Amino acid sequence: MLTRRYGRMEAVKDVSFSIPQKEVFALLGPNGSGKSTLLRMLCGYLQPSAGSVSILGHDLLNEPRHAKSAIGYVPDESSLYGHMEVQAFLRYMAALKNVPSTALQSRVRSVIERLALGEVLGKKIGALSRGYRQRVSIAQAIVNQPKIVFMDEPTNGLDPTQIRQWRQLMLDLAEDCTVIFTSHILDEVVAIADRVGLLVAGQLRAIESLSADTSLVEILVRNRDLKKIRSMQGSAINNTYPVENDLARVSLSLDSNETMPSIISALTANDVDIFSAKPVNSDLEAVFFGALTEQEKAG
Amino acid sequence: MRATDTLFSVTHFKALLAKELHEIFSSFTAYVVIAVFLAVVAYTFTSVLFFQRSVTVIHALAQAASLMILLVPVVTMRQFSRERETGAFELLVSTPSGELEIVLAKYFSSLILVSVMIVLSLSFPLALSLLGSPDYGAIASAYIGLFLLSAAYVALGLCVAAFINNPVVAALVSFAIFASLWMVELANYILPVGMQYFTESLSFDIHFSRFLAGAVFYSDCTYFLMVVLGSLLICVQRVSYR
Repeated sequence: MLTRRYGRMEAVKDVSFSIPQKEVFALLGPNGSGKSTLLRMLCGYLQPSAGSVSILGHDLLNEPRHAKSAIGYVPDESSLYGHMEVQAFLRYMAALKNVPSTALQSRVRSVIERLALGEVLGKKIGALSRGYRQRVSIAQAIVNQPKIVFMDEPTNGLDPTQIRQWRQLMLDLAEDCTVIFTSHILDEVVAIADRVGLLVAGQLRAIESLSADTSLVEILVRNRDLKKIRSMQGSAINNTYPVENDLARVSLSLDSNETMPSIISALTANDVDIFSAKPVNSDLEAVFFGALTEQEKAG
Repeated sequence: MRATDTLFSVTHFKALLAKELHEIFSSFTAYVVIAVFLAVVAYTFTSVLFFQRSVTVIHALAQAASLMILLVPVVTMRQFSRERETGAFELLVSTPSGELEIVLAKYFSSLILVSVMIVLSLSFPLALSLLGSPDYGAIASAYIGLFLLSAAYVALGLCVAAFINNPVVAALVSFAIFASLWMVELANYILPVGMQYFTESLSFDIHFSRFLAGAVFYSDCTYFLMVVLGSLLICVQRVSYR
């Protein structure tokens, strides 16, 4: 049971889970729920106040070198050495990650090709665009061919094209290793994770498998259209959650003879402007919004 | 049988040291520090030579030792703060490299910069040797003392930098500690008589002055080395505590 305290406050409390190899596991939770603290404990930066982390059978506290040899960590893209050139940085990280000197050059070349960093090799990391910095961050994480890759809020600040590229990269990575990432964005988690751990106020509330489930549709609509949706015959609002710009995210339960296209047609026929629509995992959605409400109530 | 972790990895240390050296010698601060050091020591050396007409380098080396109180904090103050500020330290400790290698790489990179300053100051005794025949034994002893004193300052400065993230505050605290250790025997004026031995044992000035006088005592060498060892151990502990 992993716990991390800062003074009297418990940022992570009694968390315990195991992850099989080659799984994409997401730690989902609202901001301040303890995701980054948990991830930092898993990659050995923070020491747990109680409990232990075992990576491929190596205790992170007692055998840190062995345990850390098996991991790659993708921190926030600003956490790189901005004054270093890309190639020098990758070589440096490879040396620190026990890549043998005989294989160092080929490993660095391999991640450069995989992440398409050829154009920026001689440039300083600090001078790169956010997308390139994110790629450099991933390149250093996989240069030692790790068994587990940790990523902290990996899509923060990326544009939609970069997010799409990142998702593809995650799927590629998952063929070789386990990927554990944190996110507070439900859509992102649903898009690529095999399983998700929901973290609320430092506690792991649930671990859900993200199997295909089309019994629930999530739509983005104007707040003013909520009344129309409620008055529609047969519609069952499962949950609503306000988002920016006078918009609301609404999840609708589908009954047995409804499909996503049919419900969208019905909504547009009733003059409801739909900004986006997608099927979601009903269990996760319910748990996530329940947790959000709970955290908001707790202040 | 399960393989156990090694205590120290030479490969990691070499990679870390190379990076630290690259950083330290590509910074403008390093060259300013070297220039200030050489300018002040050269001024003292020439003043003594031409105004006091004394063919000696000892005054200049005494001046160099005092200067280290001001200059070493400038060298060590950013050793941890920059990586902590950017979050790069998080990345660094997620690698298999241990805290011992990280601290030693930072220590030796700073010490190498300070050693470059000391080595460049050898031009003064070299100049003296062209003018006459100075006491090479005394000069060698003074240089050994200056190196050990600087090594102790660097270790203490690094230790302070590990505790204090703000580089300016770290430099000021280091300066206060260095100055206190340099002049601690002055406290004898206000302390009880029995404390005299204690303060004199701590005083960097007293230990260093014996080197300046041409005497290399085992106890003085041990003292400075103990300060280095103790400071680095505390530093490793501090860096490991997260």
